[in-house]
Parts: sequence; C-alpha cells; structure tokens
Amino acid sequence: MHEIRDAEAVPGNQVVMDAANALEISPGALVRDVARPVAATIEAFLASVERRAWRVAEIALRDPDEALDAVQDAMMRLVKHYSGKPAEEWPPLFWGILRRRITDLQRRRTVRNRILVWTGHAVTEDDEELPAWEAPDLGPDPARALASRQAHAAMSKAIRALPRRQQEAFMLRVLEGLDVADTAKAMGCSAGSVKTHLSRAMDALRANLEEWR
Amino acid sequence: MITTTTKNETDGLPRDDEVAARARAIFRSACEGADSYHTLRLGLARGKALNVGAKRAGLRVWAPLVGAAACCALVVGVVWMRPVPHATSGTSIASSAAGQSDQDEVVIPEVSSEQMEMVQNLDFYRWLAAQPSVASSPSGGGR
Repeated sequence: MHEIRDAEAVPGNQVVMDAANALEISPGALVRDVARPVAATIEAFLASVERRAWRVAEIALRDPDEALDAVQDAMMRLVKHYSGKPAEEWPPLFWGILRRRITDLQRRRTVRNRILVWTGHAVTEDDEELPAWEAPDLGPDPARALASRQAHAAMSKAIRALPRRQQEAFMLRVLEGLDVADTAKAMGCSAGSVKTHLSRAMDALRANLEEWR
Repeated sequence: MITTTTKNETDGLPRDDEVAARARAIFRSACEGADSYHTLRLGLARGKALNVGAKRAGLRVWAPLVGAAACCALVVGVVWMRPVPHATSGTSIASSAAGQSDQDEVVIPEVSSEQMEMVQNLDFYRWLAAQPSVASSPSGGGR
C-alpha cells in the first residue's frame, strides 16, 4: 500500500517509464522461449517467419487474405532489396517492411470506409466481426483446437483494441520476440518509445488475460 | 524503485511475464494450427518472392555488362560518324568556300604556269582556231 502511494506521487509519465524499465530489468521474462537461431539463407528465414508474419498481419488487418498479400509483399521487398544484407539484419528489416505495409493497408481501408460512409454503404463493426469460414478441423482433439481458436480470437480482439503503436510494440516484442533494439528498428522509433508503448500495452492487456484462458 | 510486479500483485492482476507467456502460447498454437489452404499460399508466396530475387540477381550480373557494351558501341559510332578533316584539291576547297556565307575572302585556284601562258595568249589561239583551211588542205594548194 505504501508503494502504491509512492506511485501516485510520481507523475504519470514517470510511472510509465518506471514500468518500462521494470520490463527491461527482466527481459528474459518476455523473450525467454522465443529466441530463434539466425537463418543461414533467406529462404530458410522466410520459411521460418512466414506463419507468424501472417498471423500478426491477420490480427492487425482482420482479413486472412489481405494479411497474406501483405506478407507476400514484405517477402518480395526483403528479397529484392535486402537479400545481400547480413542474416542478423533480416528480422528487423522484414518486420519493419511488414509493419509499414500493414499501416498502408489500414489507412487505405480507413479512406475507403469514409467514402462508403458518404455513399451510405459503410461496413459496420458487427459486419466485420462475423466469423470467417474455416476449414473443418481434422485433428485428434477438436475441442482443444476450438478452445485454442477462441483464445486466439479473444486475444486478437484485445490487441486490436490497442492504439496502433502499442499493438506493434506488443506483437513485435512479445509475440515475435524481437529484442528492444530490433523492435525499435522495425518500428522506426527509439528504444525508450518501444518500452513506453509496450508498458502501456501490457497494462491494457493485463485485465483481459482471464478471457484468453 | 516501484516495479510493475509489485503493483500488479497488490491489484490482484497477473504479472507481465504471465501475460506475455499466455499470449505467446496462444500465438504459437494459432501459428501451428494454420489451415492448409493458407499454409500452401504462404509457401507459394515465398517461392514467388525468391523467384523475383533470382531474376533480379541475374539482372544484377548482366546489366553492367550490357551497359558497358552499349557505351562502347555508342563511342565507336560517334567516332565513326564524325567528319574527319583531310587535305582536298583546290577546286573542292573553292567550292566549299563559296558555299560558306560567313567566309568573305575569295580563294584563288592554283593554276600551273603552262595554263597561265595559255590564258595570256588566248587571242592567238582563237585566231589559230579560226584558220582551218590552211591546216587541213596542204596538198591542193602546193601543186
């Protein structure tokens, strides 16, 4: 209780920075089991990252096909422009390209929706939340797979409710497991900004954890 | 130093590492459970990206060579087509000089001394040409 009173005495931004620093004090807690080996070839790198990239794009764009287009575009740009770079630089470059592509698509969609609002053909939130068709589950434990899909849908919804920069920080740092420096490169901002965005994202998502179980 | 862990414990909310671990587990499960249609399309997208890269790599090798060859051809063409200044006869110089409006000085053709002598005795040669009967009928007049 005493510590909470101390926290209230500190200005808001300072609290966020303290929380961000606390996250940084124990970086292993966030990236403990996400550390990945450096790919030997660009093909191996793309093969290892493609599913995660697609899922991240799908969370951000809500559309699996649009997400696939974004991932394909990011792959092509990486191969076209950066295949000569050292393999250690591929992850932040790839995620940076994908992040910009997702942002472009989101902005384009916003403009399109505004035009549709004027013409009276806007898509409502309820329409967008309709479940997409999914292939029948032929796995050994359909109940478990269903629970996993529901948890993923709930988590995706919670992430989408975050501001865009917090979404990016959370997905790159926690889900993909990039370190702070690589996340900052991919997001095009400073390491301090990454910590701040991530801290705020964690604060917002903490209350939703029960729904993900 | 206030940490999020302490604050979260007092609030009864999960810690950051719990949130992160749960999110990662859900995300990993979703990635592993991707349907075959999208997995196949991802593989095709990867193949397409790598093909584009291979074509570009080929272009990267050949483009400088083709460019260098084109430059050489251009240089050879320019050298070949350029008019070379060379010595010409007096008549051609005179005709070319006459064609140039900005060149005021008159170029006098070079004439040999024999031709000059002929020009000076032009009246004599005209007279000589007008006397055909004397030269062409020597036999009739002599008898």
